[in-house]
Amino acid sequence: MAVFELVEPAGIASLSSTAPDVFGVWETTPSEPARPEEMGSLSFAPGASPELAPDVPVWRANLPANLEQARSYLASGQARLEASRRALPTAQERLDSLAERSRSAHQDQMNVSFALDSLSTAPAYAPSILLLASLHAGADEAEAEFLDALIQIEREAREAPQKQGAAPRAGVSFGLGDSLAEGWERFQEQVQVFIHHLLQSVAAYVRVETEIAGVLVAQTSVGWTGNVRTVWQTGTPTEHIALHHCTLRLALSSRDTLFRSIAIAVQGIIKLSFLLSTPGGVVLALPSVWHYLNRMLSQAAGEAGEH
Amino acid sequence: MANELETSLRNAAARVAQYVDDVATLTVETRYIQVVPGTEVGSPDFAGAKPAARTEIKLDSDSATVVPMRPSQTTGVLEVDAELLNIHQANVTMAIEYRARMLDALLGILRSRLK
Repeated sequence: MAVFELVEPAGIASLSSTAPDVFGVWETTPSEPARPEEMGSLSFAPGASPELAPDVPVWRANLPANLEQARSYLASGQARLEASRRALPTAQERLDSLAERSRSAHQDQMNVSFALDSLSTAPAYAPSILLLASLHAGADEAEAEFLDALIQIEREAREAPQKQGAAPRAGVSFGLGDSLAEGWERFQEQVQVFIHHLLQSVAAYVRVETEIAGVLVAQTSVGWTGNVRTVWQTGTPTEHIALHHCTLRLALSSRDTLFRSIAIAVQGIIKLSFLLSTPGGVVLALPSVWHYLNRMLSQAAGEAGEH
Repeated sequence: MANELETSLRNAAARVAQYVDDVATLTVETRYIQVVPGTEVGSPDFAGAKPAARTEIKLDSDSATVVPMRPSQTTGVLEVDAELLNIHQANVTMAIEYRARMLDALLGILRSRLK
């Protein structure tokens, strides 16, 4: 079991479908749909508040009984998150730089468009795909993977009309699904879920839990306007209370960072939108750009964890 | 499409920021659940927690806090449960900070200009 996990409600599993972890700190997992009897005891009991509903994201720390070790995990998580936060401007600059290189390459391509026109009937030689492929030069592994994802979106979108009724084929997947031909609707659904998560990350309640040696010792619900409700077990040792406060700070800082990173992802894909020639390509590429951003941030977090 | 997305993002951020800013009260509540000695504590009933302390911060005027009290073991006079109050106070501080951070993040989207 991961030390830090972000359990997303069924249907809001966008982060867990695009990345195995958030900022290299929180392992993402979709939750099992709540059983009716669980929902009865958790959210619809008389006097129960919506904060206790089962369908909210849960940021949970699973800490060991050894206090030193637990503190060490939390300190390491905080250090990695801080590294991710510090890397946000750099990640944004890298997206801007890619947009700048893309614009420049696009201009060059426009100058030789007569040559490309003769090839553009085949999807693989579409100008937008050739342009994206040309950007691989000088790209690192993460950027190359992101460009591949954009190429895949372009290629699938172009091939989709030709593939109506054709047998599905496997494709590169970065959490977007396999191919538009086999699942255009699925793609759209995933993107809607992703955008919904953007709103959810601001608007919905979240729950932060601390488990120590498998026992839930404290639970805090945080509303989107900052309302906070914390529930403790009586007799909880002061040390465990302190651990939950650390978990809470880590979770709320992560939520804040998540919101900022998603906003940067949206702004980034808007800047790169001219690379995507097909309708809806911008929206379809959102999970990919967030995945790329998260990878950059996770890398920074990983480097911090090594020190 | 890109312009529509940018406009949607800005509009959504503006609406949420305005709403958060308009909410005049910040409520922080601390509850407890009684652990009965000798019982299984693996699955505590968090939904049935009882209130212990509550602070309502009216962002444009006064604040009110209901503090936890208990009878002194020596004199029997009511005294503040300092430990619980400290927990509660830490939550109040965190709630204020968090609200400010979220507002700042939202306003950051509105301030940013796409190149």
